Amino acid sequence: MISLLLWPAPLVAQTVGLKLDGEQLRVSVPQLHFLGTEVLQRLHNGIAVNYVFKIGITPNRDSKPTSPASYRFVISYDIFEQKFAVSRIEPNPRSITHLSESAAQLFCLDSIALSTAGISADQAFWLTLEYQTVEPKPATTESGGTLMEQLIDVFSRKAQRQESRGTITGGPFSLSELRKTR
Amino acid sequence: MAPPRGLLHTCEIPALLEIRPSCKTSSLYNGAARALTNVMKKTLLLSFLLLIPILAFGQIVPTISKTEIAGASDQMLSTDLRDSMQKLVGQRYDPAIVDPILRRIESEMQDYVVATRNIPETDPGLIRLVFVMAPKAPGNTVADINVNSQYIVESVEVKGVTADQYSTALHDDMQNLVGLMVDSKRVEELRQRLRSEPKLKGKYSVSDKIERGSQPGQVKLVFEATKMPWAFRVTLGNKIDLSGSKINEVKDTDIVESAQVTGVPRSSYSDSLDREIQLMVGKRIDHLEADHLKEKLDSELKHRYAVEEKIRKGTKPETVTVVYEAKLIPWIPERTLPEVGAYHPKQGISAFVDGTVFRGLTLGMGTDGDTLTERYKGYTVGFESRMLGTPHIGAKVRFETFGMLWKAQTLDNLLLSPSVPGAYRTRQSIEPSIAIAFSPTLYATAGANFTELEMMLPVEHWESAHEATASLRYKSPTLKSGNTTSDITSGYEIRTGTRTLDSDFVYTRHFWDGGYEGKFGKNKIKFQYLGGRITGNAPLFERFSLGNTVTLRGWNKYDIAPIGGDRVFHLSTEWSYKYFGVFMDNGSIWNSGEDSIIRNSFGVFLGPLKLGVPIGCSSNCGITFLIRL
Repeated sequence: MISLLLWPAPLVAQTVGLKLDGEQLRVSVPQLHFLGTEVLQRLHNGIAVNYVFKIGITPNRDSKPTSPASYRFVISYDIFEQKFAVSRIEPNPRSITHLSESAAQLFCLDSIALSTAGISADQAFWLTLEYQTVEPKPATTESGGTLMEQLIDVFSRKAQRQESRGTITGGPFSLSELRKTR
Repeated sequence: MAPPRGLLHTCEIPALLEIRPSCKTSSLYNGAARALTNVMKKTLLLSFLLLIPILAFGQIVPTISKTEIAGASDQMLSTDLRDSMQKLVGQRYDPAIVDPILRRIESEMQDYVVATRNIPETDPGLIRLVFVMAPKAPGNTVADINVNSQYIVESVEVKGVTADQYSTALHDDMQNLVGLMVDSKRVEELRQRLRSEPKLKGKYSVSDKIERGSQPGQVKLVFEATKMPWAFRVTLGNKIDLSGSKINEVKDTDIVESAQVTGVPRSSYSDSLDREIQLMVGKRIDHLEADHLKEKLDSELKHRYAVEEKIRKGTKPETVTVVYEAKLIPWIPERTLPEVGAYHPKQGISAFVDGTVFRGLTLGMGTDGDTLTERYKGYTVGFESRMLGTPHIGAKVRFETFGMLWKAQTLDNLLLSPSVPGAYRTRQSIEPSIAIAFSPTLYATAGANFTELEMMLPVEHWESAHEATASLRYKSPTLKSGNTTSDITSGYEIRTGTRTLDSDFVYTRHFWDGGYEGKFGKNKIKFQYLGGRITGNAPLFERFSLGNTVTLRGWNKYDIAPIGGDRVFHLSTEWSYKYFGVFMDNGSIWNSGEDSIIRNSFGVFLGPLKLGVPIGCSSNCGITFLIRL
């Protein structure tokens, strides 16, 4: 939580595309490279990285989605084959290996979908996609203690565990328009 | 859920199209990449022909040569499903045909997580398709899904610190990973343990990484300890004491680095005690033992010293030092003016505080209409040493300046009593004195008091009341017997104004006081007495007074003796249980040559709140509500 406050999310200017796939909305952000330098370094060191994506819609640009859909991925890098592997933990666990860096990112984004249930055809809406790395819970509980100790713990791990996160917003969209362009 | 789209663009081939430096090395391990290299070696034409479809469609689609199941027995799957899997053989890899199989496996094996793994065959256009299954674990973590978990740990190495900086047990646990498959959860656990090692905690951050080993499929596990920035190191390295935090907390497992007694010569305590203290060195700190030795030292020093036990972090990690700091206890008590917090309905509110504020500097201020017939208000400032190199001798000098308020009864009575020196507007004095203690319970003082009075009548003028003073005071040690404690105090003081000191007032004032206080559990009994005698013409501030919040409670001093008296005695008896109690006061105040009238009062009290009832009071008196803190 503290690290979230200390490293504010970079606002990424991206072009957000939205496609209607049956009754599901699928996001497309061609320029998005969420595997940053720090994360790649960690992956190349053989360490897996947890990512959480949250997607939701809002009636206007500045509001926050009330009940976003959450997707959780684990990305790892095969140090021998030098290929990425992605495991979607939730929903519906699914894994894929032997991916390039861009393919790993694409797999994550392709997996993300949002149901159109509850969205009327002509309703204009904005789409918000948030992503961030999440630390796995430590195996031991030794990091407890005073606030000072916890702060020091957070700072001392900075070099290894720098957070990567971002938010992308696009719109306005409407289902009727998306159906026309399908 | 619809199958993930775009997998055709994400499997093997996009790596070939990438311009990132990692693509160069990826070709060493990628069958498709090797195929491209071979093709380029054969002929430019063939390469070009091959590259056309690549450039045109951005992909090479490998053929599935074989399907396998890993992580579970294929017998767990239905025959129909196994047949469907076999039908994939010979087909081009396409998620559209693989995903339905995946979903069917998931539906048949609901307690398993299923993933596909494409393993390139020797023939560059072929892949082996492996369905990897793992039991579902709630809250799957990174550890379960790291693709490197398939490799065997060849070695475990710790960089940045030497082996003696962390425990053998941790070293052994790390080495136990060798020969096993990478368990990321265990690796994270060991990383945290290394970071928490006493010699590293707060000074090093620890990261972990997996490197390729000397053999394919084998990896090196590396823990890297990096020194933290200085600011964190000094904070956690116990150089800064953050009081209230646990950072400098002494642990029971710490080893005693040294133990010593300071503040007393070595000869002050026995050799056997010294040996016992030194026996703590090199062992784990035992707080009970340390406390026991403190009590023993206290006893051997015969309570002449206040012994303080200080256990601090040692110079090395996981060590502590034990220091018994002995300080001589001064035999002479603090000699400041009595603090007053009182309310009397006919005498008003009194609040006066006096005490040491810093290294012997004393300050006092307030107003007091309770103690004397005058109400004085002002301040005092002084310096007091209770121990001039030895606990036997102390010294003090105090300056006072007060303005006066007089009751009409006092002023009226002064007009009728020409033998009594008159009222004054201000009173200023300087009072040096020394104190000599004969024992911790008995001490004497000697000094002088140079007081200047701004007299009001007949015209304003200054007069001097220069006195020589001396006193002797005794305070018994608290006598304990079971749950009973007893304290006895007694004192005598003489003050004499003399021409020798250039005083305008010539007099001698004797004063005795003392008491007994016994506690029997929650019951308390208290007897106090005072008596005094003045000869000569003492100024008003030296005359005695009774009838306030301490003496003859319930009576009003301005009704009994508005200008005080030169003879006095008083007895006070109290019994109390917790905060509630009853009292009885008996006393008399009179002037030389007059008859002594004994007055009595009784009352009850609850903490500082008192109700005093004067006995035998004929007029202008009754139950009096008093407060005395």
